[in-house]
Amino acid sequence: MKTLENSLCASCEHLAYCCLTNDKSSIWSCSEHEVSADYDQEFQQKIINEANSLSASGSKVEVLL
Amino acid sequence: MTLTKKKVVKEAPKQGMLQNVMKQFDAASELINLNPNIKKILSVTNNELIIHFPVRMDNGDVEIFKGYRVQHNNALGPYKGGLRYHPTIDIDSVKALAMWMTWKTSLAGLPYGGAKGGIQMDPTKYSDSELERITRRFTYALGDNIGPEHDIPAPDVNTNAQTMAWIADTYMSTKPPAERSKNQHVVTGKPVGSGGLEGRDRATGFGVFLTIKYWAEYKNIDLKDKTFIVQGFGNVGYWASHFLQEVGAKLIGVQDAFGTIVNPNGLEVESLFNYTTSNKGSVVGFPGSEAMDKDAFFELECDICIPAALGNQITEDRASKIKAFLIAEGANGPTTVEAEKILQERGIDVIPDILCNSGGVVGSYFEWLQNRNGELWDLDEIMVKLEKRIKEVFKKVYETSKLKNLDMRSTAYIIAIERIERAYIQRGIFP
Repeated sequence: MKTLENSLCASCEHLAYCCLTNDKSSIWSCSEHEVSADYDQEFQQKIINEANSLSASGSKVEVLL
Repeated sequence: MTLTKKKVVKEAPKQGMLQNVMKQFDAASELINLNPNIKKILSVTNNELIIHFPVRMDNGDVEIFKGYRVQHNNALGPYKGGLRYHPTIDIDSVKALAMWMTWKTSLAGLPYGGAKGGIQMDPTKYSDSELERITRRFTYALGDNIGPEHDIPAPDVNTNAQTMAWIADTYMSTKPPAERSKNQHVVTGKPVGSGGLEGRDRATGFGVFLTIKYWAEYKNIDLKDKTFIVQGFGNVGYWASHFLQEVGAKLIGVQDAFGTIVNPNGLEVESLFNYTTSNKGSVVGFPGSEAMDKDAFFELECDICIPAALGNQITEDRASKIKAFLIAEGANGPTTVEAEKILQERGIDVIPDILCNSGGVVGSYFEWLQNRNGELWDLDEIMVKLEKRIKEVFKKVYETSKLKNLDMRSTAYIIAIERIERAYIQRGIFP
């Protein structure tokens, strides 16, 4: 299972510091979601890959930037 | 910047959104002994459209986009539900959200079914003119799969009033000239100058406030001087706080994406809102407030807790530490199933999301009606109508929950599903 699957956090400008939740993997509705103006797709992909490789081992991952 | 893995904890595999929604449906169907044939119908979606469509980009290249529209059920009326633009959208998530809309519109007593849709894309990657062309081309590709009396989209994640105005304009443009104006209600959530509803921005938050007010009336509790905390200070959190403060309740804690602030003597709602507008949207640093640990937010000493940001916030661990006597779910799915059991054992009431935040979809219905009837309602008129509708729905849920000795969430699902079951029983199955 992909760690960030269906999560709005992937494109949210608050991703790096958001303190609303520690679980950014399955957020499908969020009143604070704002599209990141300088959304760095490459960097986000790096996070996703990192998270996925760990989740494949059955681990919960909290990514801090 | 570097990636740091803060903690690695073993956990059970997470269930997808669709499994969660199905689980809720199965539980409610069992409670009411739902007709098995109708259960079969409601367990699946009526229509699922996946559309690939080309759009020319600013640089002359053509990109292919994948768009979705899932229509779950229309036993009660036209399909209704938002359109979201997001890179992680897929068919399962859209199916789950469509099904959830069916229950929500049914509970609110609206003549609507449920739908959801969107485009798998990252909107930040496109210019405004590209977004306009993507939206218009998707609308054209949907063709008569949407329509004012068939399926009525609305704004959702990363879509807004402008997106809806483009959809309405494109859809109307595909009709013969004499029929264009009568198709304006193909979408709701339009800008006020283009058929949108006055006060739509406050409809959800006002609904949250109303459900708290009616709950307090049933419990014979005076909201004056009652303290409350809000997670999320967006449209829902702000407006719910605004109306609660008007009746004398006191906001003592707020958590947003940037941080958590607290003041046991009260945070003045309008001043806080004005502060956020000049502070990049953040509540942090509001004069007179103190910053606090984010993980202790839900443990704050207060009477009412309003999670109005995102899901899965009230977990088992937090449920056992909550001090509030009422949780009003302004957000979608903020309480986990396990946490709700603990809250019930502790005698803490929960106004479920499907009821608590239904002011938004009721507002959409008013916009649709207004356009359909060629009327223009003023703000006062809209607020009165909203109040009347929310009051009726709350009364039904609350009184039925007492009658059946059930929690309000199970009751809300039961009422929603029974209304659809009744329609099928009355109409029968064709042929």
